[in-house]
Amino acid sequence: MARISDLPRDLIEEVLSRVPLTSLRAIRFTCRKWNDLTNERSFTEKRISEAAKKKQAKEFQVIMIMKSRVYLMSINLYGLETNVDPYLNFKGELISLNDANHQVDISSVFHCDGLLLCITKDISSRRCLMQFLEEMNYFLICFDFTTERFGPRLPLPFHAFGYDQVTLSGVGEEEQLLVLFQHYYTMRLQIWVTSKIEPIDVSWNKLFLAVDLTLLTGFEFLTEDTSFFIDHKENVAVVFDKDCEIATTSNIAYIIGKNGCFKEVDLGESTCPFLCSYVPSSVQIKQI
Amino acid sequence: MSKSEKKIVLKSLDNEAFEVEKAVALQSQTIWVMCEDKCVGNEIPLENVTGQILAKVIDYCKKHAVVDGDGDESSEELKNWDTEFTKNMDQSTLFNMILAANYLNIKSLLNLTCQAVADKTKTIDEFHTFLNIENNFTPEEEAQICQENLWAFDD
Repeated sequence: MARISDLPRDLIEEVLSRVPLTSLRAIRFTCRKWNDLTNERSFTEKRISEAAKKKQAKEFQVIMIMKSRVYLMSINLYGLETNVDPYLNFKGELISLNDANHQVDISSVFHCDGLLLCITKDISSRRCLMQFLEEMNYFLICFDFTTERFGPRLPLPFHAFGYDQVTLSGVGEEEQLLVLFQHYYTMRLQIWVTSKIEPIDVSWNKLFLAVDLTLLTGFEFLTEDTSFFIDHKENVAVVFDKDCEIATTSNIAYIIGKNGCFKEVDLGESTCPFLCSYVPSSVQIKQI
Repeated sequence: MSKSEKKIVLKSLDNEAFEVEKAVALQSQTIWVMCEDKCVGNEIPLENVTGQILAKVIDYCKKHAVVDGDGDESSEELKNWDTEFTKNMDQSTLFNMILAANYLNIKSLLNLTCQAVADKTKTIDEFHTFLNIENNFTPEEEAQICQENLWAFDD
């Protein structure tokens, strides 16, 4: 009778890299060999390539903050063209072994290279804003980590004023920045994609989407920090906002297609969601 | 090509012989290389695979040889067939299938069988019981792993 221990190491790695992310802790608690294996760089690389394959199969994972909790969500937009409803499913929640009663509230989360920085509520005042919103004027500024300096003011591809809505998103392809612009009076919505982004220079020559919201939602997106992302293959943008009728409670994912398609997915009641793309890293952070 | 050249005989570890279409067998990169090098005749000995497992591998290759030729329409059907194919396999058979798929170098079958094992186990207890793995941590090591994995995504 064959057992998993009969498999050579690289095949065990093949199997374990396909186990859902929510079982990663369980794998590490299984035995010494597996704990070592899952902490190696090659294991993370396999997981990243598996995640990329899944994304090609039109299902991908993101993390989202709702109700001061960090959730892992799976998004599938596969059925859009054939009129099957897209779905956003809860896959798991970020839980600490020391916090059985779920008392730690998380106010914001940042993702870089597979590492998550979670800011808990009591120190949320320390977070730094990378998007500067001056009265009557919007611009971008880039912090260069190699020189530890801020660069010059960088332009946006439109002129925005006080009540207009401007939101940045880094969810999507690497080395790409997205900006959502919503004109206060005309209710026209634009999403732009960068073609180049450097500390001293940015080019926005791709208008991904331009729609008239009066024809779709009939109302303006409400939240100031709307979370959104785009899907190049499906040619859609997904914007997270409130339900227009019960604005204070329910969250909706609005899926807006370049071809005019429009769908809503109800995410239930909570405070406003925040979204961030995520592939885990195996790097251990040394406690100081 | 004469009729005999289109067929190929695969011989298992326990000397069971399977006559299959060449197009079916060539989904295995290992067999493809053997045929390309002309280092074998019409009969290929596969010393790492038992007849019971080889029969299943051939079923898989037959299904995929036929449907791949039909184009995109049947991809959904093929996916369902794959799910059914691994659904009732026990762990031991699945591990032998993984070993065979790896030896024969059939990427899609390796992917399918590895995913099937991964889908069947999720909790620590399942890893220990289904996969027959012993917990060999000392209490100190276990405390260390608790510390390292304090925060994680959980169901």
